[in-house]
Amino acid sequence: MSSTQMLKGILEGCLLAVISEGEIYGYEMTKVLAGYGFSDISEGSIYPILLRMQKEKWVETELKRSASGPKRKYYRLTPLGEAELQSFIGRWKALSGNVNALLEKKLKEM
Amino acid sequence: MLSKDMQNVLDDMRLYLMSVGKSDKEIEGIMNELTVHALEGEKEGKTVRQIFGDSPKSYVQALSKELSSRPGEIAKLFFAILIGAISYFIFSDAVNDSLNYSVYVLAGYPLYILLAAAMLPLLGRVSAFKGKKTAFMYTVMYTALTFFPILAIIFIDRQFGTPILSFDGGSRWLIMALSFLVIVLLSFRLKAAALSILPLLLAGTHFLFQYMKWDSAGAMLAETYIPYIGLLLVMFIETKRAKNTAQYE
Repeated sequence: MSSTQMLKGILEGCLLAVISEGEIYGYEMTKVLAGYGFSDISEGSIYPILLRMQKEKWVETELKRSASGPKRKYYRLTPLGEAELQSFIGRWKALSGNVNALLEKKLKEM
Repeated sequence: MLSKDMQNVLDDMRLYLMSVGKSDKEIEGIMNELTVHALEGEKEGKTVRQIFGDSPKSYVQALSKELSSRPGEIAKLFFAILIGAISYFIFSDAVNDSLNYSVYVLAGYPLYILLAAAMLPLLGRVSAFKGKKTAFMYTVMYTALTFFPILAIIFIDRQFGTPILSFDGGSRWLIMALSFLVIVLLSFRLKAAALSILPLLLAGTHFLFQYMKWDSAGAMLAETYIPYIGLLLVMFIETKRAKNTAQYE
């Protein structure tokens, strides 16, 4: 499995974490993600996830004028989104703990 | 300003989403967002591949799953195209004072328009992401496929048709005014206001040629084509104006 495929499943949680830092629009999100080393995935792949988040009411949006071109769509986390982020963090801690424990055992055996 | 490649990919995405019947409002929203991303990305030297991955078609298919379909919107659009096209045929006949209809025309044209309108989304779906030459070839095939039924209706009508519905005198002018009104209203409803100029061009050219007594074969040919050339010109100007406005919004 490539790192891109692994990443797709957790991108949703990562985006929730990025948006929780404060109001942000799509292009900026990809820059923040790239700053954390998420540069393997195509930038556009955040938009289907953002659409899903809007449907789930995890985020609310607002169009704002920009000096450099057309209006940007800014995202903010809703209380539902905040709850989903906390749930993701819990799931991630459990999962990464399990994977680390398993891999550490394998590494010791090698 | 977007690069040609990026603009083509965005246009193909819009065409694909429209052809699979996604909500107009949602298409508009996501396309605006992707355009902002593409503009800012290109300013920083990013390519189509970096933004939309190896296959923009797979990308838009993934996007499409997250957008709502609007069967009601499609049905309304079909109905609007049907009524608009029928009104246009009637207006054109009223201008030429030939409001005589056989059963073949009365049944054939609505069926033909429904068939042509039903095939239009299919054309959009097969043409998107195929390159300009292939898309053009599909458009030619579509035009040919939709042109032959018209020829067949005209042929059958001329050979076997007897008018069962005719209008002249005062009713001709009333029908002309009503069909004109319907075309104008539907053009605005379909966000294609430029189309409402076509009946004016059609009637204007016809009455000008009649008044000037230009009735040679060449003049008749010119009378047929002038309205459509005029419409293309208006649409070209309108598209350019819309692009400029969108850039500065």
